Amino acid sequence: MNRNEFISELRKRLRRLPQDEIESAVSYYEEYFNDAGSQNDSQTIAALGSPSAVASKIIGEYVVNDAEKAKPKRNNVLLITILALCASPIALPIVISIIALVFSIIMVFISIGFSGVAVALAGLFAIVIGFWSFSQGIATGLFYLGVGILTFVIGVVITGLSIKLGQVVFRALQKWIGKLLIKRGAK
Amino acid sequence: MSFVVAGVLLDACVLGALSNAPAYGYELTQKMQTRMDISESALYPVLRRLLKDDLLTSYDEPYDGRNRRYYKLTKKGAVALREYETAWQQYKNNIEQFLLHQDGEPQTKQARSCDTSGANGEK
Repeated sequence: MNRNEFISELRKRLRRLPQDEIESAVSYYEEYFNDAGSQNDSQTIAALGSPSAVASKIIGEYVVNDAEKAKPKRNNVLLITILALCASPIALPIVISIIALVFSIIMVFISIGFSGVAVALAGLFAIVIGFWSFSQGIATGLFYLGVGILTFVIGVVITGLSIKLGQVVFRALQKWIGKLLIKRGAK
Repeated sequence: MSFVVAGVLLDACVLGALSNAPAYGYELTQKMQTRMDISESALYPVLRRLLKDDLLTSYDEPYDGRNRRYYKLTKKGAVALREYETAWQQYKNNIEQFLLHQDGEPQTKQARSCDTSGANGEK
Protein backbone atom coordinates (compact mmCIF):
# COMPACT_ATOMS: atom_id res chain seq x y z
CA MET A 1 0.00 0.00 0.00
CA ASN A 2 1.35 3.42 -0.85
CA ARG A 3 0.41 6.82 0.48
CA ASN A 4 -2.32 7.50 -2.06
CA GLU A 5 -3.92 4.13 -1.46
CA PHE A 6 -3.82 4.74 2.28
CA ILE A 7 -5.49 8.15 1.93
CA SER A 8 -8.17 6.96 -0.49
CA GLU A 9 -8.93 3.95 1.70
CA LEU A 10 -9.21 6.27 4.70
CA ARG A 11 -11.55 8.56 2.74
CA LYS A 12 -13.68 5.58 1.79
CA ARG A 13 -13.95 4.41 5.40
CA LEU A 14 -14.98 7.88 6.55
CA ARG A 15 -17.50 8.52 3.78
CA ARG A 16 -20.55 8.46 6.06
CA LEU A 17 -19.28 11.35 8.16
CA PRO A 18 -20.14 14.98 7.33
CA GLN A 19 -17.98 16.36 4.51
CA ASP A 20 -16.00 18.81 6.69
CA GLU A 21 -15.04 15.98 9.07
CA ILE A 22 -13.73 13.92 6.17
CA GLU A 23 -11.75 16.80 4.66
CA SER A 24 -10.27 17.75 8.00
CA ALA A 25 -9.09 14.20 8.72
CA VAL A 26 -7.76 13.60 5.22
CA SER A 27 -5.81 16.86 5.12
CA TYR A 28 -4.36 16.10 8.56
CA TYR A 29 -3.05 12.74 7.38
CA GLU A 30 -1.83 14.13 4.04
CA GLU A 31 0.16 16.70 5.96
CA TYR A 32 1.33 13.97 8.31
CA PHE A 33 2.77 12.01 5.39
CA ASN A 34 4.45 15.14 4.03
CA ASP A 35 6.04 15.95 7.36
CA ALA A 36 7.21 12.38 7.86
CA GLY A 37 9.04 12.69 4.52
CA SER A 38 8.03 11.10 1.24
CA GLN A 39 10.89 8.57 1.34
CA ASN A 40 9.46 7.22 4.60
CA ASP A 41 5.95 6.48 3.33
CA SER A 42 6.10 2.76 4.01
CA GLN A 43 7.40 3.33 7.54
CA THR A 44 4.71 5.91 8.19
CA ILE A 45 2.01 3.56 6.95
CA ALA A 46 3.35 0.79 9.17
CA ALA A 47 3.35 3.13 12.15
CA LEU A 48 -0.13 4.49 11.47
CA GLY A 49 -1.65 1.03 11.17
CA SER A 50 -4.49 0.10 8.86
CA PRO A 51 -6.72 2.85 7.42
CA SER A 52 -9.67 1.07 9.04
CA ALA A 53 -8.10 1.38 12.49
CA VAL A 54 -7.37 5.07 11.90
CA ALA A 55 -10.92 5.64 10.61
CA SER A 56 -12.39 3.68 13.50
CA LYS A 57 -10.85 6.08 15.99
CA ILE A 58 -12.08 9.14 14.12
CA ILE A 59 -15.62 7.77 13.82
CA GLY A 60 -15.60 6.64 17.45
CA GLU A 61 -14.72 10.15 18.56
CA TYR A 62 -17.48 11.57 16.36
CA VAL A 63 -20.05 9.15 17.79
CA VAL A 64 -19.04 9.81 21.40
CA ASN A 65 -19.19 13.57 20.88
CA ASP A 66 -22.60 13.29 19.29
CA ALA A 67 -23.83 11.26 22.27
CA GLU A 68 -22.52 13.89 24.68
CA LYS A 69 -24.11 16.82 22.87
CA ALA A 70 -27.42 17.99 24.29
CA LYS A 71 -29.01 18.32 20.87
CA PRO A 72 -27.38 15.93 18.45
CA LYS A 73 -28.00 16.32 14.78
CA ARG A 74 -29.60 13.05 13.95
CA ASN A 75 -27.91 12.54 10.61
CA ASN A 76 -28.02 8.80 10.76
CA VAL A 77 -25.71 8.36 13.71
CA LEU A 78 -27.13 4.87 14.20
CA LEU A 79 -26.23 3.98 10.62
CA ILE A 80 -22.76 5.54 10.93
CA THR A 81 -22.21 3.62 14.16
CA ILE A 82 -23.26 0.28 12.72
CA LEU A 83 -21.19 0.77 9.56
CA ALA A 84 -18.20 1.88 11.61
CA LEU A 85 -18.53 -1.25 13.74
CA CYS A 86 -18.59 -3.42 10.62
CA ALA A 87 -15.59 -1.61 9.14
CA SER A 88 -13.62 -1.60 12.38
CA PRO A 89 -10.88 -4.09 13.25
CA ILE A 90 -13.24 -5.69 15.78
CA ALA A 91 -13.96 -9.37 15.05
CA LEU A 92 -17.20 -9.95 13.16
CA PRO A 93 -18.90 -12.25 15.72
CA ILE A 94 -18.38 -9.59 18.38
CA VAL A 95 -19.76 -6.91 16.07
CA ILE A 96 -22.83 -9.05 15.40
CA SER A 97 -23.40 -9.62 19.11
CA ILE A 98 -23.07 -5.89 19.83
CA ILE A 99 -25.57 -5.01 17.10
CA ALA A 100 -27.94 -7.74 18.32
CA LEU A 101 -27.61 -6.47 21.88
CA VAL A 102 -28.36 -2.89 20.89
CA PHE A 103 -31.25 -4.03 18.70
CA SER A 104 -32.83 -6.09 21.48
CA ILE A 105 -32.46 -3.28 24.00
CA ILE A 106 -34.16 -0.87 21.59
CA MET A 107 -36.89 -3.47 21.03
CA VAL A 108 -37.50 -3.81 24.78
CA PHE A 109 -38.14 -0.09 25.07
CA ILE A 110 -40.30 0.00 21.96
CA SER A 111 -42.45 -2.86 23.26
CA ILE A 112 -42.82 -1.25 26.68
CA GLY A 113 -43.81 1.94 24.86
CA PHE A 114 -46.43 0.12 22.81
CA SER A 115 -47.86 -1.64 25.84
CA GLY A 116 -48.17 1.80 27.45
CA VAL A 117 -50.12 2.99 24.41
CA ALA A 118 -52.37 -0.08 24.68
CA VAL A 119 -53.04 0.60 28.35
CA ALA A 120 -53.86 4.25 27.58
CA LEU A 121 -56.28 3.15 24.83
CA ALA A 122 -57.99 0.76 27.23
CA GLY A 123 -58.35 3.69 29.64
CA LEU A 124 -59.93 5.84 26.93
CA PHE A 125 -62.32 3.03 26.14
CA ALA A 126 -63.34 2.78 29.80
CA ILE A 127 -63.93 6.54 29.88
CA VAL A 128 -66.28 6.23 26.90
CA ILE A 129 -68.05 3.35 28.62
CA GLY A 130 -68.27 5.53 31.71
CA PHE A 131 -70.12 8.31 29.89
CA TRP A 132 -72.34 5.78 28.23
CA SER A 133 -73.27 4.04 31.46
CA PHE A 134 -74.35 7.21 33.27
CA SER A 135 -77.80 6.20 32.01
CA GLN A 136 -77.50 3.05 34.15
CA GLY A 137 -76.82 5.11 37.24
CA ILE A 138 -74.41 7.76 38.47
CA ALA A 139 -72.34 5.33 40.55
CA THR A 140 -71.64 2.98 37.65
CA GLY A 141 -70.82 5.89 35.37
CA LEU A 142 -68.42 7.45 37.89
CA PHE A 143 -66.79 4.08 38.53
CA TYR A 144 -65.99 3.49 34.86
CA LEU A 145 -64.97 7.10 34.39
CA GLY A 146 -62.57 6.92 37.35
CA VAL A 147 -61.05 3.61 36.34
CA GLY A 148 -60.77 4.89 32.78
CA ILE A 149 -58.95 8.09 33.71
CA LEU A 150 -56.60 6.25 36.07
CA THR A 151 -55.77 3.62 33.44
CA PHE A 152 -55.28 6.25 30.77
CA VAL A 153 -52.85 8.23 32.93
CA ILE A 154 -50.89 5.07 33.82
CA GLY A 155 -50.64 4.22 30.13
CA VAL A 156 -49.41 7.70 29.21
CA VAL A 157 -46.83 7.63 32.02
CA ILE A 158 -45.54 4.19 30.93
CA THR A 159 -45.18 5.39 27.32
CA GLY A 160 -43.50 8.64 28.32
CA LEU A 161 -41.09 6.93 30.69
CA SER A 162 -40.13 4.27 28.16
CA ILE A 163 -39.38 6.96 25.55
CA LYS A 164 -37.30 9.05 27.95
CA LEU A 165 -35.49 6.07 29.43
CA GLY A 166 -34.99 4.60 25.98
CA GLN A 167 -33.31 7.83 24.85
CA VAL A 168 -30.99 7.86 27.87
CA VAL A 169 -30.05 4.21 27.41
CA PHE A 170 -29.58 4.71 23.68
CA ARG A 171 -27.31 7.71 24.28
CA ALA A 172 -25.25 5.67 26.76
CA LEU A 173 -24.95 2.75 24.33
CA GLN A 174 -23.85 5.12 21.57
CA LYS A 175 -21.14 6.56 23.80
CA TRP A 176 -20.02 3.09 24.82
CA ILE A 177 -19.71 1.92 21.22
CA GLY A 178 -17.82 5.10 20.33
CA LYS A 179 -15.33 4.44 23.11
CA LEU A 180 -15.04 0.83 21.96
CA LEU A 181 -14.20 2.04 18.45
CA ILE A 182 -11.56 4.41 19.79
CA LYS A 183 -10.02 1.69 21.94
CA ARG A 184 -10.09 -0.99 19.22
CA GLY A 185 -8.54 1.45 16.79
CA ALA A 186 -5.70 2.02 19.23
CA LYS A 187 -3.32 -0.56 17.84
CA MET B 1 3.74 -3.22 30.67
CA SER B 2 3.02 0.47 30.68
CA PHE B 3 0.25 2.73 31.92
CA VAL B 4 -2.25 3.76 29.26
CA VAL B 5 -2.40 7.47 28.51
CA ALA B 6 -5.84 8.10 27.04
CA GLY B 7 -9.00 10.13 27.50
CA VAL B 8 -8.78 13.12 29.80
CA LEU B 9 -5.15 12.45 30.67
CA LEU B 10 -4.18 12.54 26.99
CA ASP B 11 -6.16 15.78 26.51
CA ALA B 12 -4.26 17.31 29.42
CA CYS B 13 -0.89 16.13 28.09
CA VAL B 14 -1.61 17.62 24.64
CA LEU B 15 -2.54 20.95 26.22
CA GLY B 16 0.63 20.82 28.28
CA ALA B 17 2.76 19.94 25.27
CA LEU B 18 1.39 22.94 23.36
CA SER B 19 1.64 25.38 26.27
CA ASN B 20 5.18 26.52 25.46
CA ALA B 21 4.97 26.74 21.71
CA PRO B 22 2.49 25.87 18.94
CA ALA B 23 3.24 22.68 17.02
CA TYR B 24 2.01 20.82 13.94
CA GLY B 25 0.51 17.36 14.04
CA TYR B 26 3.54 15.30 13.09
CA GLU B 27 5.87 17.27 15.34
CA LEU B 28 3.51 16.94 18.29
CA THR B 29 3.07 13.20 17.77
CA GLN B 30 6.83 12.60 17.57
CA LYS B 31 7.45 14.76 20.63
CA MET B 32 4.86 12.95 22.73
CA GLN B 33 5.94 9.53 21.54
CA THR B 34 9.39 10.02 23.03
CA ARG B 35 7.75 10.14 26.46
CA MET B 36 4.70 7.92 26.25
CA ASP B 37 3.34 4.89 24.47
CA ILE B 38 0.70 6.40 22.20
CA SER B 39 -0.08 5.33 18.66
CA GLU B 40 0.63 7.56 15.66
CA SER B 41 -3.06 8.02 15.01
CA ALA B 42 -4.04 8.79 18.60
CA LEU B 43 -3.68 12.54 18.42
CA TYR B 44 -5.90 13.52 15.50
CA PRO B 45 -9.21 12.82 17.31
CA VAL B 46 -7.87 14.55 20.41
CA LEU B 47 -6.81 17.67 18.47
CA ARG B 48 -10.15 17.72 16.66
CA ARG B 49 -12.06 17.58 19.93
CA LEU B 50 -9.91 20.22 21.65
CA LEU B 51 -10.41 22.52 18.64
CA LYS B 52 -14.17 22.03 18.82
CA ASP B 53 -14.15 22.81 22.53
CA ASP B 54 -12.16 26.02 21.82
CA LEU B 55 -9.28 24.87 23.98
CA LEU B 56 -7.04 25.01 20.92
CA THR B 57 -7.00 27.04 17.77
CA SER B 58 -5.21 26.26 14.53
CA TYR B 59 -3.52 28.34 11.87
CA ASP B 60 -1.77 27.48 8.62
CA GLU B 61 1.75 28.48 7.83
CA PRO B 62 3.35 27.98 4.42
CA TYR B 63 6.20 25.51 4.43
CA ASP B 64 7.98 24.00 1.44
CA GLY B 65 5.26 24.98 -1.02
CA ARG B 66 2.40 23.66 1.11
CA ASN B 67 0.63 24.53 4.30
CA ARG B 68 1.39 23.26 7.74
CA ARG B 69 -1.38 23.42 10.30
CA TYR B 70 -0.18 24.56 13.70
CA TYR B 71 -2.13 24.03 16.90
CA LYS B 72 -2.01 26.64 19.61
CA LEU B 73 -3.46 26.97 23.10
CA THR B 74 -6.34 29.44 23.54
CA LYS B 75 -7.03 31.42 26.72
CA LYS B 76 -9.71 28.89 27.56
CA GLY B 77 -7.17 26.14 26.93
CA ALA B 78 -4.67 27.75 29.30
CA VAL B 79 -7.33 27.90 32.01
CA ALA B 80 -8.22 24.25 31.41
CA LEU B 81 -4.55 23.32 31.61
CA ARG B 82 -4.20 25.00 34.99
CA GLU B 83 -7.23 23.07 36.24
CA TYR B 84 -5.73 19.83 34.95
CA GLU B 85 -2.45 20.65 36.71
CA THR B 86 -4.19 21.01 40.06
CA ALA B 87 -6.28 17.89 39.51
CA TRP B 88 -3.18 15.95 38.48
CA GLN B 89 -1.23 16.93 41.61
CA GLN B 90 -4.08 15.60 43.70
CA TYR B 91 -4.43 12.42 41.66
CA LYS B 92 -0.69 11.77 41.69
CA ASN B 93 -0.50 12.20 45.47
CA ASN B 94 -3.39 9.79 45.95
CA ILE B 95 -1.86 7.16 43.69
CA GLU B 96 1.52 7.50 45.33
CA GLN B 97 -0.05 6.85 48.72
CA PHE B 98 -0.47 3.27 47.56
CA LEU B 99 1.98 2.75 44.76
CA LEU B 100 5.05 4.08 46.56
CA HIS B 101 3.97 2.66 49.93
CA GLN B 102 3.52 6.12 51.33
CA ASP B 103 0.31 5.26 53.17
CA GLY B 104 0.67 7.71 56.01
CA GLU B 105 4.19 6.64 56.91
CA PRO B 106 7.38 8.29 55.76
CA GLN B 107 8.88 6.46 52.83
CA THR B 108 11.67 4.10 53.91
CA LYS B 109 14.72 3.12 51.96
CA GLN B 110 13.44 -0.41 51.73
CA ALA B 111 10.15 0.71 50.23
CA ARG B 112 11.96 2.78 47.61
CA SER B 113 14.25 -0.04 46.51
CA CYS B 114 11.18 -2.24 46.37
CA ASP B 115 9.50 -0.05 43.72
CA THR B 116 12.51 0.24 41.49
CA SER B 117 12.97 -3.51 41.42
CA GLY B 118 9.25 -3.87 40.78
CA ALA B 119 9.39 -1.43 37.88
CA ASN B 120 12.42 -3.15 36.38
CA GLY B 121 10.78 -6.51 36.74
CA GLU B 122 7.77 -5.32 34.78
CA LYS B 123 9.68 -3.98 31.81
